[in-house]
Amino acid sequence: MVSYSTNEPIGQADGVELPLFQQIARAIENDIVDGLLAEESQAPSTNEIAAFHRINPATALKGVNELVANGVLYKKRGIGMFVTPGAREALLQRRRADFATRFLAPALAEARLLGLTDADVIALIQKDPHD
Amino acid sequence: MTEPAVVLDDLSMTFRTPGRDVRALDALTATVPAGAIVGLLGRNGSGKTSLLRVLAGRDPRFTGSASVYGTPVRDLGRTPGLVGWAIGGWPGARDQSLASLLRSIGRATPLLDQDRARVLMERFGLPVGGSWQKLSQGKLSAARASITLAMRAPLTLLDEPQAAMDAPSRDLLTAAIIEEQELHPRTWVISTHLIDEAAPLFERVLVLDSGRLVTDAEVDELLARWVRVEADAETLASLPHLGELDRLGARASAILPVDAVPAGPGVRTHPLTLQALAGLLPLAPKE
Repeated sequence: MVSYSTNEPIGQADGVELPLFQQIARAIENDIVDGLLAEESQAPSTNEIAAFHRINPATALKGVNELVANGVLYKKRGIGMFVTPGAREALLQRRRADFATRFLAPALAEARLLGLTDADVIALIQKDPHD
Repeated sequence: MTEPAVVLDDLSMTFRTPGRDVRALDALTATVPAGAIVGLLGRNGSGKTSLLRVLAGRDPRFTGSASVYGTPVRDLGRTPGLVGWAIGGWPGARDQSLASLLRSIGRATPLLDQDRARVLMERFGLPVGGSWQKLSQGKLSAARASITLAMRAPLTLLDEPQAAMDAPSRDLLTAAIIEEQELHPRTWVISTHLIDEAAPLFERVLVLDSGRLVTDAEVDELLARWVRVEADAETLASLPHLGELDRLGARASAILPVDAVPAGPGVRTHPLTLQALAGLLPLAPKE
């Protein structure tokens, strides 16, 4: 799968690989979050997605339909799929809610394994690892 | 519900050879939904080609039943163009240029879109002006695939279509299948040994083992049911697993059902590829 600039992992969740259609949905969501796919702009068609990723068009359709079901995309009859206004903010909110479970919990588990205390971890955060 | 593309009911085929009978197909019962791209997997000699021959109406030596879009396979002669398949060469054809061969095939099968076949051949870089009999195995595969794809048959059967093809050609073939599915949707049954390469194409797989159907499932569902687990050998040995344990010292790795994964430190899980799983499915306990 192509890699994206957000750190949101596409492929795996808890050691089990996500089904391909969900990876497709995640990839589109990442594009929206990254600002690469603007709200009200047209999303790639399922044919374009299938050709780009070299996958079954039915799989691409399943991924897009999931996004329609979640309200991230909407259908304009006869034209195609478009990004719902407010989708980016909604995705950011969803990811904020999941941030602790998806990113902090593994980091803290690793810290524990290494013998780092919570205070150690906080100190590291305050030091700004980007230095 | 739309009519299924293929319905098999207790399909069996036995070859009598001196000394023993060989069950090429053993009581196959399955349905292939219309419009699906289905992978047909199994070891050499597991019955894949036998099944494809039956579906193409090329082998009447079976018991039980098989039908394509409601037509029994024995009656496929009356519905030309319903099933398209790519296998073997063109044994009856004299040596001629590939372009000339294409025209001959086009005269015999009016449903073939010759222009499209030509476009595909050119994409594969086939020398259309050259003798078709002098084509390498890989180029022959590409020629066969180009013609079969351009037949646009509602049920298209491909038997190891990428045999002997180089990697860029295999990629071209995958892209061509996807493109064809968009332009003229149809049902595909594609046998292959290059499972991981082909996996993104398949919604469903049928897995054969010694003529029996051991798996008929959606790929997503299959890959969600099993996982590779790394843990200490003793623990893994006592849990249900497919095939043998791979051991490394006191540790081991095995494929387990997702709900049998043990908890605890030192247990690591890894996602499975379809290729890794398909080889072991014949060993799975029957549901």
